[in-house]
Amino acid sequence: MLILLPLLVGWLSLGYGPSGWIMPDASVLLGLRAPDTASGIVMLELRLPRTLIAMMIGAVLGACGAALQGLTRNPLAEPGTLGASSTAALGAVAAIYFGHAGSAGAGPAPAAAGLLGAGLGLGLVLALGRGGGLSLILAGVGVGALATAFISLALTFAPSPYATLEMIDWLIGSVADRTLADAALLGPFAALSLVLLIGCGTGLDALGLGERTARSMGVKLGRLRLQVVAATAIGVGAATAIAGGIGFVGLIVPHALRPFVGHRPGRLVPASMLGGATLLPLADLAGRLIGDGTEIRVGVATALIGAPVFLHILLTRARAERGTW
Amino acid sequence: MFRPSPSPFSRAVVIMAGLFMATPVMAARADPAAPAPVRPGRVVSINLCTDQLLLRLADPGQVAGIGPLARDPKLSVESANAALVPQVSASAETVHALKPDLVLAGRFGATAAAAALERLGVRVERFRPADSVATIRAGLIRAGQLLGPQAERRAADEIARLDAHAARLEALAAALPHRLRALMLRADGSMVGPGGLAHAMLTLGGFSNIMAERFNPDGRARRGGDWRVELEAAIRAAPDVILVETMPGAAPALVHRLPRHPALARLTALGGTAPDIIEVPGNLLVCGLPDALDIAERLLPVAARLAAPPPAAATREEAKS
Repeated sequence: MLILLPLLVGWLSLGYGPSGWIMPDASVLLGLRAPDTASGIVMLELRLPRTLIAMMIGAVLGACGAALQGLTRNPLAEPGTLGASSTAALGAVAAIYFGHAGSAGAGPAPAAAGLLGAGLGLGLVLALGRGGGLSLILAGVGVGALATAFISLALTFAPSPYATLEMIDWLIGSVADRTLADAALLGPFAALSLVLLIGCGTGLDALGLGERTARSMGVKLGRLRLQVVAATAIGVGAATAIAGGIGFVGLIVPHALRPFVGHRPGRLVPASMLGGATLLPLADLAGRLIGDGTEIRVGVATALIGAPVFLHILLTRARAERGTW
Repeated sequence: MFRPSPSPFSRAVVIMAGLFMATPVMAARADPAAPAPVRPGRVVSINLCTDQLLLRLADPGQVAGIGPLARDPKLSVESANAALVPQVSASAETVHALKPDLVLAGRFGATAAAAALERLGVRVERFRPADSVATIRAGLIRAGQLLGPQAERRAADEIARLDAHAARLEALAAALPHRLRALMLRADGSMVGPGGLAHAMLTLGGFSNIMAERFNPDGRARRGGDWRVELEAAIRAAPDVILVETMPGAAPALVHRLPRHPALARLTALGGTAPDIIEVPGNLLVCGLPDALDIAERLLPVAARLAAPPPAAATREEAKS
């Protein structure tokens, strides 16, 4: 069921758009035949990349959220709250505006810089938030705010007359008008990240029983932590370099699916991967259709859903002192 | 085809953003007939478009300071002259320190600085963005009157050239067999809508703007300016020609990606129904100066060439209906 949902949403996302329904044509999409109509070009060059990118980024963010929540045993952990999205965006912005990139956007350099930014940011947050729990989230918020400020500063000093528009793209996130080259760049990073995260399942399950129990079961905590952080840096770094910081998917997807997988982090990671791959294209599709030709950015759509869920988590967490996740 | 667009709200945000980014010149609200009582000796401009107006019309030595953007040849047609006068940032404190007799400002940019200068007792004149030949002319007249008799004479010369140029272009455009439907992409990824300077030059250049079709033709409130439309909606509206604004040498920006999207390149391979893709230099469209008409001048031969073969055009019309 959960496997079919992303495919269904992906198919709808290819077919529906602001210019109406186009029947997906497999031979064009698979590259067997060059598109010979404007509709075919719209399908291949505009809807296919954004659908693929939204599915990949949704999968990465969902899986990262589940793994980070399991690792930190904190229900508020996700790439956004831990500052990884902002630091990745800062890396990509620095690469684009002060690097050699003659042309903005897709290219290995911004992706690598985003990856580096996310890795450094997460490392800093984990080092600062050694107390665990709340101090980790607070460190993430602090590092994230710092990175956001630097992004604004960099865009203000970069001689771009479009600095304001740029900030919206980087801070809210969008998958609009990306190209197949963007999707091809993101693919390997997303795949590597997902493989690493799913490989953490057993360790996260053991960690769910407590650190001491996990150690007695032979789990190397340092290695587990490194694997989750590296996978998050790789996935979120590349995702942010392509689409900017898309928030809340990593937060809400694991929370929505946790009751269905029996509160086991090991099973929650692949489930959240599929859930994210459903939610993000769905939010993107909704943003395209509601906006009537002027899109509502996917980051806005996800935040509209995510912020209330975030608040709900804060409230219920305040009531019940400790829950299981 | 485009659907009618009943959701102007999100669009208004984009339009507002556009207005803040480039704040071109134009004549204003106030009585344009009232001449300045005395010739102001020290004039400061804090807007890219009034900068250029000032440089073009003022006497040597009359310019006490202009904004930093006017030196950028990508944005300004007066960049060489701009390098010869002092540069000033658009803050009330730095401008006030220059003890100006008159400050020229844009209607939409640096509004806080302009208001603060007025509170400090400095005379501030605000110019609206020009969106037509008439408003370019009005801007020249007003700036000339504000700057003194010499400037007024220079403005009169500019206006004579402007009117002659516009009349010649209009005659050429009127002689076209028919107007092709054009979509124009700005360098920032927005699309040229009716009401702005780019739309005026598109029309003067012999095209009809496909984005005008998004508006109710029965006189419901029309909104002007550029905004962002989904590229797929624009492509499926089947324009005859796609004009792409270029900003050579501009700083890299994500927003510059849209005009280079592979979907546009692929359109040219469609054969009979393929829209032509024409590059248009964007630096002349930033401000409403007489130079903007050079865009229409460059577009007219293109419009004439593309409208010329009647059989191809006829089949295209059929395909559309």
